[in-house]
Amino acid sequence: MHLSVKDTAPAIIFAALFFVGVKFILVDPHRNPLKAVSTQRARIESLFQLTTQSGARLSPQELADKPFAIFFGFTHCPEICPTTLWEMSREMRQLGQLSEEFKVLFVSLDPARDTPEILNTYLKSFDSRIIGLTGNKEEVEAAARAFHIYWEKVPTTGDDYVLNHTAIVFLMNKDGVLKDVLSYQEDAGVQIAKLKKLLASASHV
Amino acid sequence: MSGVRSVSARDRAACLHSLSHIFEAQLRMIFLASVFLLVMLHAAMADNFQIGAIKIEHPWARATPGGAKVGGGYILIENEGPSPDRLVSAAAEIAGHVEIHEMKMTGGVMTMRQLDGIAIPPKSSVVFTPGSYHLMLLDLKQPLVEGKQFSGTLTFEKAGTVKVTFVVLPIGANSFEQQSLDHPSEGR
Repeated sequence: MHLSVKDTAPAIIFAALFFVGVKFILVDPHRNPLKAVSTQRARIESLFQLTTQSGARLSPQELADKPFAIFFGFTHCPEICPTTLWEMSREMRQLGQLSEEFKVLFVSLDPARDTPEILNTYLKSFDSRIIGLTGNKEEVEAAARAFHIYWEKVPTTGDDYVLNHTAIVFLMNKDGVLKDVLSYQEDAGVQIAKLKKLLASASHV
Repeated sequence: MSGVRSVSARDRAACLHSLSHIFEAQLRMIFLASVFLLVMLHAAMADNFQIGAIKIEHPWARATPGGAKVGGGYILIENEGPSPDRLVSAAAEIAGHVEIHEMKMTGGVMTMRQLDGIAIPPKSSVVFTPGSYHLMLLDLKQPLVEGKQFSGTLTFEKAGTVKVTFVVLPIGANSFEQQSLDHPSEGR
């Protein structure tokens, strides 16, 4: 049986359209809502590769399908990280029972120095519900990339170094969708209002 | 009138003598009270230090979280003189070494830059405060505990080295004026 052009043309056109569709829809995330969802899901998944201050991997139960505030930093940070953790703790206390409705995560960008034990001791100075996360270099970098965090190692004296890094707190819903941000030295009232809004939108899902 | 006798020179001398004793005692009291007051004033103003034309006010640091090896120190430096000077180094007994850093927040990204000195122009002040310059206290030998003090030195290119005392304020303190803040690690 010979295949004529008339027979194969529709197949060729279909195949062409199929590949064009694949290229524009699946490869371009802006056009594909499915791709966007997978990016957000990837954020959440990246967290489960990390280790908490207890030494065990973060489990889905610990996130409990709740919205969360996430901040990337390091314990050798003299100012921004302690301040941010302090402010989050103060706001968790002010929110009372409402603070049970979201999780607070602190991810170290300095896994070489910030072991789970170091994180555990460090976080004792703040609200006990804050979850500290670290891991090996690859795991931490994957999470930082998933959340679009900028970070850069800056040598200081001798072998010492500091990190330049994105220092805002991201407020995300349980699906990894970014809902808002908290900025450094932002008014406490403004931050509390943003947290309340995050919780209100979560309860409408 | 009988019974009244004139006051003799000796009596007068004796009277004056006892009066001067009382006066002397009161003078001594005033003197001691003044010394006491000055000492108290000096203690109250102990957060001001001076070397040449350079005045350093309110050195303070934040309490550190558990196990932290790095802390932040802050000061106000005033150059009251007609010529520029430069803070070139600092030291603290509680830290292995101290660096001068500038911190900036741009577009949500925090950057820290080590400086080898900071110019203090004449008749101006430079403030080290959260969000701006800080003295990075590295290799802490012990944690910085709220309410405690530690000594350090600041070295200026022209004025020289001056000893200062840092006061430790709560972790979240934003300025030397904040003496008491909530403690969020309690009361959960």
